[in-house]
Amino acid sequence: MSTPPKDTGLAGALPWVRRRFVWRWLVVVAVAAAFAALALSWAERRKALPPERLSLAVSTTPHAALLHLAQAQGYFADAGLDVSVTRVSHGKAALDLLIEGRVDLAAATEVPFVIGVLEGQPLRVVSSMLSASEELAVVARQDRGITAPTDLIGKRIGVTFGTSGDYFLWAFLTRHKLRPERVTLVDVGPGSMVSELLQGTIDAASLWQPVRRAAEAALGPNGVTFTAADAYTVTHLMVGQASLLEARPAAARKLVRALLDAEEFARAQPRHARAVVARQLQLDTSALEADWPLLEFRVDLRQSQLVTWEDEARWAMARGHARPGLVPNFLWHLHLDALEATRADRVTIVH
Amino acid sequence: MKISTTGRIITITTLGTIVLIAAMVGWAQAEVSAADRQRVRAGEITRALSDLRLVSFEFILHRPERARLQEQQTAAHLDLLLSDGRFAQADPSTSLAALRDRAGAAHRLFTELLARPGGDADADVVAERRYLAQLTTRLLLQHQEMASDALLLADHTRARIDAARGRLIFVILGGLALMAVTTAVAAWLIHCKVLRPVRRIEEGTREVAAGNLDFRLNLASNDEIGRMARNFDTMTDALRSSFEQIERSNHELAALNKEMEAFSYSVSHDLRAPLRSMDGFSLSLLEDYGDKLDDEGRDSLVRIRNASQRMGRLIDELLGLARVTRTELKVRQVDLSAMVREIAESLQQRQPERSVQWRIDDGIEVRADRALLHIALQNLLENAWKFTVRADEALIQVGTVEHEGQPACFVADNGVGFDMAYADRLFGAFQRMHHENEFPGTGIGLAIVQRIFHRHEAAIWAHSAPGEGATFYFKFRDTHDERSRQGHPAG
Repeated sequence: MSTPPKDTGLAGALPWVRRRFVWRWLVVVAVAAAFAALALSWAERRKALPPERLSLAVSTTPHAALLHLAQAQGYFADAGLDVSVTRVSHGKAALDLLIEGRVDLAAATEVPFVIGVLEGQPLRVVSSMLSASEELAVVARQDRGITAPTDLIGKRIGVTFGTSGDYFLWAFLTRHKLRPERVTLVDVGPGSMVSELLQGTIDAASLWQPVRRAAEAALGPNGVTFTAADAYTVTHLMVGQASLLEARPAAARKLVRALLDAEEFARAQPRHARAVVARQLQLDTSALEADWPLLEFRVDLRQSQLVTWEDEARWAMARGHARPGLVPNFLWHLHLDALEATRADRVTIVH
Repeated sequence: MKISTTGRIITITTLGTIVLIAAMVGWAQAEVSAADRQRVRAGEITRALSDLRLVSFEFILHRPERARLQEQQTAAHLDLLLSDGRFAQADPSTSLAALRDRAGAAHRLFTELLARPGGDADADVVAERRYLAQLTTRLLLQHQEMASDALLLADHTRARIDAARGRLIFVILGGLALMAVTTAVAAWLIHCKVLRPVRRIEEGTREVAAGNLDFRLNLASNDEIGRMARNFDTMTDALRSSFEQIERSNHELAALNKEMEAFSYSVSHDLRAPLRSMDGFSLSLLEDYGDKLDDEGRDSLVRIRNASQRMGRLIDELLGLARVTRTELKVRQVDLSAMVREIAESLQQRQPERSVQWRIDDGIEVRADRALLHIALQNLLENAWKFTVRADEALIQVGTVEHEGQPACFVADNGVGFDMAYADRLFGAFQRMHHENEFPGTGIGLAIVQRIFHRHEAAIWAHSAPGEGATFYFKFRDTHDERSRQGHPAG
């Protein structure tokens, strides 16, 4: 009579039991090997593509917050960029560096860009980064008899020519049915604006943050601030030379990707983002917290911007910032590829 | 773990999975419905914005009162739509808030446009023209921005619908995968805990049925089947012990049978020879010296002869009983009715002076050893013949009756009968119901009859009462009655 097999554990197991045990281990080893190969392949691929170098001119204002966040949080590196940042006081200065060919891209407001285009510069907008309707303001001295916008008639108003502050002042006066010709415009750099106001060489000034806050603080009760949200929405742009963007479209895409990551970070973790920007710009966090809600961080290209640029072009020619002529077709000054390739839904330009 | 516990866990897991899938499908469907409602509202907002832009620019171009009224109506309707609370998510609520702000700004700008040109005395014509141009441009910009925001809102709702549908598909696929995994685990558990042990038990029962009592299941599990397997192994062990005991008993019985055969041989040869000598010499004495003996001497010799002859018959009967036990059975179809008639005829021929009425049913057939059945019937019919000797109208019947749904044969007589109080010793060897002086016999006949029927695995029993005759029933496994069944006259 045959004796039935007994369960005696692996040591006394039948050959088929040992085979199954071996097969299990083989499967585990094969899966582990596949994962290791994938990881190595990924690491090799990362190693095989060195980061692309890009130089940026960026203002030391919160308007360039997305760029500062991307730099601080490593989003440029994540996107495959090795970015060197040149810090300037304001957007027009950044655009000047771009036009001089000292940087690859610059962060600036629309007005310097529009004037640059009117001057024949081959500039292209990669994307906008920020919009603000209530940030720009006219800060005036009450002791000069200014308590309402109409009191500005005949007064000396400090403004940095060729900047968004310049255009805002024009829009502000128009909003209040005042002819700009009835005020005296004084070209003052952002760094001198507060002292000029305090010294009384100017009666009022068209300012953006954080200079506006500094002026308000300096004037104290003597100061009065006029805003005009319905008059102008300033937009900050990422601008590059056409030749560079055509030659290095991948770099623009990576830049846009990093900006979108920074935008997401600013939306998801605003407090953390403010702390990072404050540290980067050596600003007071509480002051930044007050300004932050006025800034709409959004990487996009909108049809409405074309209308604004055309309006600004007409204004710039009227103001003498550029020679009179036809309003340029700003469609030719858009680099749509980068944003369309990354977030097509952010492009509402009709094209 | 017990199989019942495993079964409960599998059932609970499966039901839980189904409930989870149903809940998640319901949730995903609710998401789709909510997103669809948002899509409808986004469409309404887009239409309202389109209407607002149309009437606003109609007013800018031609300043009709109708357009002004329509702008107010549409702006109010848009305000109502934008105050909808169904856009609770972060992105769409941001877009909605932006839309509300822009709609408010656009309406403010439009309201400013309503003022008649030149209404402000302090403003000069150029400033007024620039102002109106700025208002118009800003209004255009606001409408463009609102259109973009409305598109974003629509994109959000579309994305939400897509995401909800994606989740629905994911939930369904995930649920199916979960069900598949649950089913696979259940199948695996059933295979490991039930089917494999059951196959092993099935193999065990087959082996044991085939006589392999050394087979052991050796299932180590602690569940119901494991316990059953251990009981099975215990039962097999007990069976093996019993069979070993039976085997030993059989060997002993075989040895006893051999001794019995030797004893029978001795009886048949060694005892019968002196008996024959006693009978022979007693006969010689009677024949040769009978005239020299007185009556008492002759009577003693006759008694010696009768006793030795009776002892010879007893020995024959005992040998017959032993033969009945040892004879190999040759079972075949036997015509019992014909056999009974043959025996009845021989009995009648043996005592032709007796008047006995025979009632023998036709067509009774049984499967039995013909020779042994003949011995059994011979004994039963001889008893009936013997015990009806004093009956005025002796009657012996042989037939069949239905007993417990099956036919049983019977041999009945109307003789002296016996008391059923002594029925338990009816079939014992040397047991007698009547004194030998009344009815001669050895008391072995019914013992032989019983052994023959037992060897055929047939039952035999009797029913009687003193003075009312006796009926002996016997039932083979497949007694065949050709004729139609009839009632038993003996009761």
